[in-house]
Amino acid sequence: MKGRNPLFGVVVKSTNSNVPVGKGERALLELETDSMSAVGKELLSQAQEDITKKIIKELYRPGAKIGDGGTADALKYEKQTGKTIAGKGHAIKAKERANQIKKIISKNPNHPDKLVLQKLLNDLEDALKGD
Amino acid sequence: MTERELNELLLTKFPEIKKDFDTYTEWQDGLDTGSFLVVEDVLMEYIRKVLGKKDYKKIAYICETIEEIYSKNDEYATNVIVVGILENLKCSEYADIIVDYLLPLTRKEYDEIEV
Repeated sequence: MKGRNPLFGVVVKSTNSNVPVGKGERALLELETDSMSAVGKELLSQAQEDITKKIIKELYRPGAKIGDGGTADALKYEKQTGKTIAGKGHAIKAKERANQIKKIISKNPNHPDKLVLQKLLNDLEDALKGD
Repeated sequence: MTERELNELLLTKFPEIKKDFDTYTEWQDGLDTGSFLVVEDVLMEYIRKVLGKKDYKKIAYICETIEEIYSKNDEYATNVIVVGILENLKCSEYADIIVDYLLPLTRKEYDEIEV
């Protein structure tokens, strides 16, 4: 069954591969699958350093559809629904990335991407609350 | 399994990544650096290069190794394999290549990932 989850704006795909998908729908699915989310793209456009770009690309993978397409929203989804995406949770990934970002900022308080990194960190820490 | 144990295992299985691993982790926590970070930022770069070159022998080895680690049934290692590698590959331009080389347990996980 296909529909939009009101909590996270998730497009729920049918798991039944026999359900016919129209040409327009297939093209749209492919487009969504091929692209990073708008939030991820915007953050990437603001990043200057390679490490920041790498982190953004790992936190906002192409085709990710939960919330804003980021790991933080994926984790929030998991916590609120009790379901895991891809069968395994994103909490540990979120913790490791958050620790890495903290390290980057503390080593260089004047980092050129400080605003972007802080935004990523805030999102991850918000999603990790209670862990 | 700890981060150190998994990182040591990955370095044993993929000695090619040692130099990049050392550069990547020297400003972080060395061998104790999170394995998600190591896998996503170092190992995946190596895996993408192998896939890009279509080195099928190495692709097969990579998949055997992923299956071996997954088979250990360690919660942390499994999480890293599924979210750090399989999910990553399924979102990539190499999704159609890797699928033919994955072994049964990891193939099952891979098939269940929705992207």
